[in-house]
Amino acid sequence: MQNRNPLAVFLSFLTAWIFQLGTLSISATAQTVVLYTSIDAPLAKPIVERFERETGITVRLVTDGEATKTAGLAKRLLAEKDRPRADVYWNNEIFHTLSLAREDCFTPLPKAIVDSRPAGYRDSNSMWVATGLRARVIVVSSREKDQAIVSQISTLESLGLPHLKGKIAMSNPAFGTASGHMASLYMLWGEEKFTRVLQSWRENDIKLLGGNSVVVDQVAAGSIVVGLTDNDDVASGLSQGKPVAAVIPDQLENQSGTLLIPATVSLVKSGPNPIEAEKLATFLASPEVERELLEAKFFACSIHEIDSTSPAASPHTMPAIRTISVDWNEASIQMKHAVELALRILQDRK
Amino acid sequence: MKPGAGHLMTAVGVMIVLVACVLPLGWIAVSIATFPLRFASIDLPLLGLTLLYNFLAAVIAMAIALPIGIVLGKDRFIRTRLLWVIVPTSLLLPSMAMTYGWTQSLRLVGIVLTPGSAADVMRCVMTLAAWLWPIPALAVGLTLRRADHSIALQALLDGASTRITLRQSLPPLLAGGAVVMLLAGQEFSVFEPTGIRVVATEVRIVFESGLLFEGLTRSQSDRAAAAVMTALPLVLVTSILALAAILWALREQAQHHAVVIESGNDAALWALVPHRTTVLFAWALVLLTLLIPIGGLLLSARAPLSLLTAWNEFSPEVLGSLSVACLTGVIAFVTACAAACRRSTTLLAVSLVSFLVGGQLIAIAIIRILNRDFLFLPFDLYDSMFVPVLTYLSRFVWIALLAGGALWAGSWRSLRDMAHLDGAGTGRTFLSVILPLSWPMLVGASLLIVAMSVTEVAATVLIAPLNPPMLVPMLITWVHIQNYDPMIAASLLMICLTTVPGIVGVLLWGLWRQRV
Repeated sequence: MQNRNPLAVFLSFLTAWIFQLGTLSISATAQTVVLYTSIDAPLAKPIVERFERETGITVRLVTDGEATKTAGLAKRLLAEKDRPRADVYWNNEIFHTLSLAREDCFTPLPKAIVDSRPAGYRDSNSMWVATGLRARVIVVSSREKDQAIVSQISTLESLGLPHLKGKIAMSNPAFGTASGHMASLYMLWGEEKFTRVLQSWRENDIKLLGGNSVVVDQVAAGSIVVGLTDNDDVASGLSQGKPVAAVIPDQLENQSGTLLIPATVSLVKSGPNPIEAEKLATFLASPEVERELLEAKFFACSIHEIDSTSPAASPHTMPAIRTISVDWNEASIQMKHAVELALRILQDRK
Repeated sequence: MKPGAGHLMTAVGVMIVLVACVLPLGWIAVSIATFPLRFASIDLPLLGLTLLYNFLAAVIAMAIALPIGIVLGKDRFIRTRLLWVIVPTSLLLPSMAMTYGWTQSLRLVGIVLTPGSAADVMRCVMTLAAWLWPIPALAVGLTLRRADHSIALQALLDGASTRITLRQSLPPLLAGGAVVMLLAGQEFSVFEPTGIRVVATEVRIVFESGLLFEGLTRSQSDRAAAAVMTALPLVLVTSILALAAILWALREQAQHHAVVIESGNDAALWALVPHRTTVLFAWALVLLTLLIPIGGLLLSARAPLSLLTAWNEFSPEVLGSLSVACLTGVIAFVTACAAACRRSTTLLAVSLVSFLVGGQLIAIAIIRILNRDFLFLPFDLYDSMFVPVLTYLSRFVWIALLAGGALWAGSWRSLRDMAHLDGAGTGRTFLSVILPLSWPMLVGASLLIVAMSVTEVAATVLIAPLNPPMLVPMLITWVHIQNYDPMIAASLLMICLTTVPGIVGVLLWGLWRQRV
């Protein structure tokens, strides 16, 4: 012992400590489940905490930032496909879920969860179920001085009206629900009309902001007057007393309607905690959680309120809101091209 | 101690730099070499705009820094000793918290800027400048402290004091400005919320969404390589500028300024003390850049801020960030000791390159390297804290190497020679002679790395560590919310977390200077 080199002893202890610190929390995996979610953290956290209280299972919650909403987590799931860290994916939209399902990132959900969904709101292979619907809306300023401008806004195409120049915004279509919206519009309108409408937005100097809630904030602040966003962001602004209002676009008889986007729950294939994951997925897909998010005005409507006699091609048709009839799966396939085209037009890229 | 101990320390230091810096840099080099798109896909207008914004940030930072640097360099009162603690500490404040603070302050005074407008761009530029000005200020301050005071005294007698001071300040000021340009280029959280496009936001789009590169497959390696290619031109331009400016400043200093020992001419030094108005102006600038964002945060909270509530809410993330940062600090300390045992300019150069390429690229490289099975390990390396620790080492280990390397200059070399003459080996010399004298500086450097690791944004957001959870990825999910109390509380908590090790680090550094 006396001859032992003190430096070597110190380094040995240090190495052992570093190894222990590095691996400490990894060993504590019992009764733990990892949730990747694009649902806003302030909303997701209390729901997850309720699940923890009820089951005793610890949830490691991973949310994403507003600026890279959904796309960041979806790409992370894809990157981790061979060695997944996540157990459950609770997406705030469906288009990236469908892409990930095609990439074989998911494993079938328990039959009970799948069977509880109306047709059209569950995957035929049980890879995902929908849990509630959000609507794409136009947020407008409710200030008196802006009424002359906003009164003419009733359709997406009206965002190209010349008097709105410098007054409109949307979130960056590379991320979040804007991606799926662009893909749906591309399919609905075709490339020619899609290009023409987006060029009119570009000519109006549309701002591409770092998230849907930022669009609402900017309308409320008065830096812009009109923006394209989600219903929950407008509801959140209204609850804070902000001077904004929502216009659901294209609701007249001969118009196409707006896009309704379901949130989805999926089980990650080969996730490290499959038993806990099933419990969490069952909880998140429950009517109670959907109701909680409806009451929080995150969802615009429930999937259980739909008209079950609607044609399969447009399973999400609702009596109260006229909706775009678009095949979500096809839209998710077209998404990359549609979004790149949108970015090229809206940001004047080569 | 046996002579082998020094070699062991050196080997440990080399191994740390190899794993933390050489490995990711090697991956980046291979990506560049094998990526088919090459430089054809460079967005020149975007590169130009980013450079312009960064240049403006550098100019404003230099304007703020000059009076403060002069006061730091020339004033001898206790008021400026305090400034020597505040200025470096303010550099450590988290950029995200500062950005949020500035946004809150503007909101409180009712300033509404059109997103993406020239005024909004200037807000971002001002935010960056108000965060990064300590770099040129410290460069100027240190240079003036080391300048030959007889020249300054003669200039005072000739009535050319201002001109000479400005001439002495210019090289370090420009070098500091070039470093500001470099660091500003790595920031995206300032620009992202209002949709202002810069290279750093573009890297995020390419890496996170896989868009915008024709023919890009869905593979992560392609996206990572595309992100590297997106960032590379800016990194090259700003790095070359920064290195050229630093080398020029060092050459100027070597040519025109003799290093003098201050204690020999105390009365003369007091004659050079700047006018009280200059000192007041410098203090006002420092306080404005610090108090506006911090005051904005404090005044924006809708409910009373409670430390206990904040701790209850954020303790897992705070402890996670601290664990990772402390582990990084310990390894950095070992690296600093290794550099003190055997000096290596090669390792320092490699670690500097690793810092210069920026957090995003380093994070991408480390994700690509470590997100795989390492069958010889009994645990999942990618899901452990080694990933963020490695990333922070990759970014900041140059500070440790610089600190260790400083113990080879001037009188330190004489000390080593004397110890060698007495028969001490490298390891024994370090442990018995160098370490007892230099530990405050080595610990101080490690604490600076701890503080910087807590606040690092660019790499942390991409890595988004789960094990343990950390503060920065949580904050980035809130930074867009216009006025959110948890974001305010967490920002203030992070400011406290960085201020404490920052101040201790700076004080230890000062203690070391006094000892030496």
